[in-house]
Amino acid sequence: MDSLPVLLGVSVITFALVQATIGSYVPGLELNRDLKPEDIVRLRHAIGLDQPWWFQYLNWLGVAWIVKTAGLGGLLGGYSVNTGLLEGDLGRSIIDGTSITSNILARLGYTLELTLTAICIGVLIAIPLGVVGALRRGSVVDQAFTVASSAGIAVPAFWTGLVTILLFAVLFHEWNLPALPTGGAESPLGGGDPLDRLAHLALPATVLSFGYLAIWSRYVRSGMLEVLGQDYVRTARAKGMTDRRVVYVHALRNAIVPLVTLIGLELPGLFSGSAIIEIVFSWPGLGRYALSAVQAHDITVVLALTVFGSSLVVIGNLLADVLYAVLDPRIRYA
Amino acid sequence: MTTTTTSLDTTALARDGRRPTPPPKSYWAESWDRLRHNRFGMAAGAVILSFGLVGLCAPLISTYLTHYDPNRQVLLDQFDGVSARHLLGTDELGRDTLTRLIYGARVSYLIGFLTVGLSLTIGSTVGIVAGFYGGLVDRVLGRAVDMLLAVPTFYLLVLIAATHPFGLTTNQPVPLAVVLALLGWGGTSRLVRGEVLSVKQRDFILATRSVGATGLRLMFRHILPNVAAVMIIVASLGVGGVILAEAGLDFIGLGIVPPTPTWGNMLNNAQSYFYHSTLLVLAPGLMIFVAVLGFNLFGNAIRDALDPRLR
Repeated sequence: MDSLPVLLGVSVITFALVQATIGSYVPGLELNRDLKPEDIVRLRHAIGLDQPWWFQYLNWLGVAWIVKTAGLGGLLGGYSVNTGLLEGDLGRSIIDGTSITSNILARLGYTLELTLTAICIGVLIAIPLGVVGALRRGSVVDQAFTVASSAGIAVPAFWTGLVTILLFAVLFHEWNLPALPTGGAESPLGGGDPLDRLAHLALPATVLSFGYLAIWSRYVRSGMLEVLGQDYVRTARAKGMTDRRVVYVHALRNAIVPLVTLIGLELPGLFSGSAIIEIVFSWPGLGRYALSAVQAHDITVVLALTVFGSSLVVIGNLLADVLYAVLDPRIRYA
Repeated sequence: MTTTTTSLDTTALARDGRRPTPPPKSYWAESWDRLRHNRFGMAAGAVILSFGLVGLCAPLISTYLTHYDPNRQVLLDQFDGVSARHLLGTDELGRDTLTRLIYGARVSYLIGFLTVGLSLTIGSTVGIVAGFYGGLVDRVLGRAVDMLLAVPTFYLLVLIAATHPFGLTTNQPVPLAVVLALLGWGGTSRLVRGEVLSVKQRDFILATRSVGATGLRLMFRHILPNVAAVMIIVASLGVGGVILAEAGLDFIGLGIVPPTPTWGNMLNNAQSYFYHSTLLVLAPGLMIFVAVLGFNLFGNAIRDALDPRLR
């Protein structure tokens, strides 16, 4: 349970960053410069900004009731106690007052849809590429894959996104070919059927999968090379098995173990790895939510997303550890 | 001075039919030899060096070769294609794309090197101190690194862009490099710490300690040179990643903003003009791609040269 202090530390530091900015914030001041002092007091009270910082922090965590239980009710001084992080309440947007938890839940599905599709595409293509590269080591095909993989790591994903938009939407349109949609998760009018969703998903998911593909295919290749040199593979061949059966049944199973670990390590990235692709393709997920929040100076939303993302990273790392131990029984976590 | 022994060795080995042993070389000279003979790596090095030189000479080039200021607007020349006057065309304000790309290299290189330098300094100091002292110090610093690595960098950058802690902005090159370094030293410190743990066990450290060397002297005079190879590898593999990340930030509008031309914010701008100019979309991305690829391949070559085991 090393992760709890880490999360607590993250919450303190991020809260302090926000507190340093939000201290003198008055909601609506930018709309009306002539707010009366008593209105300023009332507005700040309404969103709890008149509370001392430590009380705001406890309230944000959702443990402010402790103060009352501890018999220190006098310290509360009329501040309201509300639910917080520990009860799954990420607070409210400082701009429009909407619940951040429900805003996140509304977008989480889109982000997961995009990243999971990309990961599936990545795995499905990385395995054959890696196997072919290993079986024909040193051949022109293998060298081409190696070059393509270095290129795939160096190419900025947002640029690949722009180039695919240019090709599949702009140029296809000019050439009178059927163009693919490049913005949003479904057509605004009359969209939403599976085919429409799939068409919207095609470009962003493919572009996102390139990054995974470039790295994973290398791991499959080196895993395969290592396994093919082992005794049990030779035994299988000696028993007269067909080449195909040896490679695809006996060797491949062990060759992709490192890949499973890598995918496990990718779990935290499920929620933030797609941010820039979401922005390029106007995908209504969490990354785009974060960007629009920072553009609107909606600081409580940014804070909530940071803490939410960090919790997912910590949970993802735990899951990856468990997955690793399940796959490889030699690994034991005390 | 070693002539006699060398000739002796040579004859002995020649009789075995093996190659004569070359004269002994230092680790660094051997590494340089390995790097020099890696033609692929040297080619990548030449590419990034030439990008760097072009960026360094940007004011000279724009005055004498392209004849345009990166921000000079000529509204009559909107969206010019490739021509003798504008080798790579112009943008929506009639600014010369080639000149802007050359100036963009300055920002990418400045931030790339500054960020890696700063994060290497922080990361190695923390790594050396944590690895050398161990115990409570190691645990506390390790927990700090855990925290840093737990927060998704994208959201943390967004948070910093929204709050400007300590007056750090993300839309000027030097503060942005500081922010990126402050967020990016975690991995370096872990690697350096691991290396220090192994160096610390060697006999020469015990010997140095026994003649009364202080902790600081041990750490920075004796351990540091022995983890330098790891530090150089981490640094040379890091620059490409930083350039990529910084371009991404510029692209989403949280990094360097116009009018300062950068490859990332030029791409952001190009998004609005898909139908006017293909070149505006292609050129800046290609620059990022070639620069990052060059740094990654050169970094690989340096790693292979310094640590052939890792190959």
